Amino acid sequence: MGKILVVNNDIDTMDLLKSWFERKNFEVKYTSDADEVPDLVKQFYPDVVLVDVLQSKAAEQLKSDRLTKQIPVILMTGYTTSKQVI
Amino acid sequence: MSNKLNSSFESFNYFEALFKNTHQNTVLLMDAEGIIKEINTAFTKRFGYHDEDIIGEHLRVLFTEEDRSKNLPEKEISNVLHHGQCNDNNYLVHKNKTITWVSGETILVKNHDGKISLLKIIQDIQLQKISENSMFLLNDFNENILHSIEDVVIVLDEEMKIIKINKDISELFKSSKRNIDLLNFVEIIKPYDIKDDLLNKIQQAFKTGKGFLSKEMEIATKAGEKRIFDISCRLLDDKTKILLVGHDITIQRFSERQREDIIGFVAHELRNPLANILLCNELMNETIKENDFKAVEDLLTRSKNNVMRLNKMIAELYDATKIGSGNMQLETSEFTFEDMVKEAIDTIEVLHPDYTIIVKGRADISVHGDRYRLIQVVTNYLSNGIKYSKGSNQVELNLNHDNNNITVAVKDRGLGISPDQLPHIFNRFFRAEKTKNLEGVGLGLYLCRQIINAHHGKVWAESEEGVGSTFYFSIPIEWHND
Repeated sequence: MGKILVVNNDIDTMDLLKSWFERKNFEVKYTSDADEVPDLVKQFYPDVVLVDVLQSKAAEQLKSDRLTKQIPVILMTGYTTSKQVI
Repeated sequence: MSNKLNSSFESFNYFEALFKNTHQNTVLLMDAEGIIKEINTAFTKRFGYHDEDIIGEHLRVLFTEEDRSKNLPEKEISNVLHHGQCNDNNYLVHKNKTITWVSGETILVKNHDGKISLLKIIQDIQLQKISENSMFLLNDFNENILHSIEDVVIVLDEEMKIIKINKDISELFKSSKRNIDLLNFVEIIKPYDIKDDLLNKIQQAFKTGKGFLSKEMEIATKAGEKRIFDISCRLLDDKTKILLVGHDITIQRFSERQREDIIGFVAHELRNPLANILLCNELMNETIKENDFKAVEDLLTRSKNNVMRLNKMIAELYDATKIGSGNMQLETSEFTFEDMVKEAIDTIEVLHPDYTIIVKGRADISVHGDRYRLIQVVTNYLSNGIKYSKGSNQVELNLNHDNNNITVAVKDRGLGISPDQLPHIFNRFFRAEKTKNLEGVGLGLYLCRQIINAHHGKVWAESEEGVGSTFYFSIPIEWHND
């Protein structure tokens, strides 16, 4: 069973994503605190991490750690142009 | 012999006639000590003195106090005695004490018996002086205009030396040299001209003889900040000089960027609940197929909550634009302050049944204000307190008043706000670093501030990171809506 970690600033969104992915038979954990992400990843070993752009710090941390940099990270955003995101 | 005498006598007569009757030149005759012996009619006309006023007086009487203290008359006389002639420009004092700027030529004249006389011929150059003065004033005026221009104005010669500049150059750029006269512009601008844009453009302008208009360039200042200038360049004086005018458009650009950022941010915030509603729909689709109606019900509630969130955000935005443009209209009435607070607490307790709001102090006072707006402030403070308290489910509300003001303090045991962020929390679209994960578009506290300001009150906050924050507002009890 695939495991997904969701890092988002919106509790509602995280709840719904969890319901959605659980229906698709994924195991889901979530957090809104970017600082918790490295520890959580090391306990949970997700197959993929979904990170909201506003929490992109979490993605940076994962990618700079030798132990976690292999894990795919997908950034999510509500922004409409790349200029706004970057 | 007699012939010679005669001719000299005749010439003397001729001279005397000229001396006495010329109207163009004012003339006076002195002895070697500078004592005035004779004056002509033109002198009387010009300076008002008659024979009896001035014959026997020293030349000094015609000079101003200041010139006398500098011994100018004495210097003039000794100059003539030594060199036979001298020219001076100075003021002469009229009998009525007015002064006139004159150009005088003094000549040493020797009689045939060897007696020395000094002849002073005076030309009135007051008009010249006035026009010189007005030229000077005009230059001064131009200079003043130049310095009062907000834009940076620089004139350069072909060697890129600064001929004129209207700003203190040390203010703009780090330059060890105080005196800006003939400073080399290249030397000064080089470290700040990002990508040598400006220098290349100027050199090109000299080469082609064509200036340029409205080139937007980024120039760094000595403080290290980048400033955006709109620079125009024009050639002057047969294309040997260049006039640069730089208009600082940093603030304009900044506010444009800020506006884009805000719009982007708001769009992002609005998309969150929208995305949630969409997710709810998708999930409902599936749960209906599975006949899991309990799940459908749950999703409908979530969907509704997100619609409410959207609604709240739009209301906040609408309020903020209305208030931000100065259209804050208060609908005032008389009410008991405590009752208003109680109503706000009731609202919050319905929304957050898990939390306890502890009220301390009382404010059983009748006030005049916008009840609805003040409830908005109190609920905002309370819901902030609840949102930002991690772990604790208590929020404390303190009521306090003296003869003049009522103060409300809402205290949470939450994340706290760092000292560098604390001053900005009441600003529009501000949200503390750590609290980005919570709803709203960052207008709540801004709206509170505007509402309290409209009540002639004030808002403030105290906070300690990791311990919690206390948000305050106070409004005057006696307040008349004007």
